[in-house]
Amino acid sequence: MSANKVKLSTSDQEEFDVDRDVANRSVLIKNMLEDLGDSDQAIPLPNVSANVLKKVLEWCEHHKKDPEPIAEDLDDNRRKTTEISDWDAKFIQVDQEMLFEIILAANYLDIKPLLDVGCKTVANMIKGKQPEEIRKLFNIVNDFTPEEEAQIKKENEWAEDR
Amino acid sequence: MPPRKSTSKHKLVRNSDDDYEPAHEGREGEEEVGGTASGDENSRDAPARASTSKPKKGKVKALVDSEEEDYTPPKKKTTASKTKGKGKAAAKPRGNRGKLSAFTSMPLDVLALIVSHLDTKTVLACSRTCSSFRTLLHSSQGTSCWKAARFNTSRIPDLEAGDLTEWDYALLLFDGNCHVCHKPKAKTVDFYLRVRACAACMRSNSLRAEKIRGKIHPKAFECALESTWSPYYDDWGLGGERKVYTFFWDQHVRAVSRRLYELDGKPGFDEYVKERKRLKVAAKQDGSKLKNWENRFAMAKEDDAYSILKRRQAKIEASLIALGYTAAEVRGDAVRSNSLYQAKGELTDRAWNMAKPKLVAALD
Repeated sequence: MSANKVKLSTSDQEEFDVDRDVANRSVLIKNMLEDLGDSDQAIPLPNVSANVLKKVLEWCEHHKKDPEPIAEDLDDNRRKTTEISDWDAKFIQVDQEMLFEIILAANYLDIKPLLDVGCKTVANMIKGKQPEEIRKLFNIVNDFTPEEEAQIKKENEWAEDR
Repeated sequence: MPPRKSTSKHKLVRNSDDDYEPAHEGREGEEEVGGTASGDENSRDAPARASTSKPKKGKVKALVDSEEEDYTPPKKKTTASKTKGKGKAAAKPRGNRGKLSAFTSMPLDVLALIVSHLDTKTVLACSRTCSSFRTLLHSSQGTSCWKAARFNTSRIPDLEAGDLTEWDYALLLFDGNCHVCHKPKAKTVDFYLRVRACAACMRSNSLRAEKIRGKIHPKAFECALESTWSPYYDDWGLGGERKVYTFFWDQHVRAVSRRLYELDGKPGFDEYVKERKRLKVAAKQDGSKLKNWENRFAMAKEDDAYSILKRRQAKIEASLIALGYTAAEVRGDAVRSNSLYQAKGELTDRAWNMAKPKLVAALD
């Protein structure tokens, strides 16, 4: 196998041949490759299914030439903008299930910029919504006990320490 | 009692962001303790709390109230696709089981990352959706979520006083219920007294020192938070003294007074007085910072509303031109005077589909 190609194997046993610079967008894979050295063996990704990996690789392919973010700078810049580039916005226009799968895969594969795109997308969906709207949006079950409900209703009651 | 400035009416003054200070790492620990133990460590407050939590009249229906009670089980596909707007894959059927709350089964790290992109008001809403959110936001990880959210909300300042938990801080700014009677939409906030109340409760609870009845410890007023108010119309600027009225929050003065009596002559009295005085000074600074923030926030909201309107109008014009109308027609009165052209809110594809026939009818 060529030194520029990497073999990835998904949870559902599909194998992908990927350019090394594409695969390197994943810090997890990059570290594994560095540890393994040159090897013909496929890298197992037991937490990612083929359809999700396909999508993730599409993102990696498009962003393979992105400069490495400067580690310390990242924190502040990340919070300053909820804007997503046009390409990323189109890319992330998927159904909710896939969106969460992408986020989980990006988290597992350690692809911070993709994780960020996913999180921002979800944040934009929630922004400005009421609790009930958020529950409906994500099928969140209201699991509060009556006591907790009562506590929430009174939570902004005047207290000496405020 | 003079009128108080309400949050709904802002005198817009451009303020610099100077008073925003980045998070002090040192204070984080304190806030965490306050947040997780939800005031338990403040056992000194116990008598005050007990006396303030008087039973509410059944009539009072809080904002949260209606939200919680009107809860209906989520209708899966319809709601998900509706709110998602652009979701072209929305029609794709999904299984119910196991995926119901994919969102809350996210690892906490990821959930925290999502929340850190939100504004404070939405984080508060999240804290009221389900227990996993609530637990996350009460945890030490939650503290950093609240901080990030404050940063995203026109940079809500860090507080000098440091005795408010992030949670209480968010409630003060964004929970609209009156702190006393729990009626929703209580617009009046006193950032110096740190209270929000409806007009009636504000009038009867925010009092000048001489109006506070009962036995009050002589040191109570030096120790209690205060707010000042000056009339706008007097001879200020003409060489006369500007009148300044000082107000206290009735319950707060009583609580401080009770504590002072408890401690009087005992060890800890001087420390308590010292700490209260420090808080009083700090809370005053915080009050001014919050006033500045209030202006900033109001302006940011106006800016946002304006850019949303511009985006909406550009989208309507572009879409109509794409339908074959000329630029002159599209920019004419028929469209511009249409309420759909001037409406608030983002024009989603769905909203456009609803608006299209009406605008086309207006043009033809």
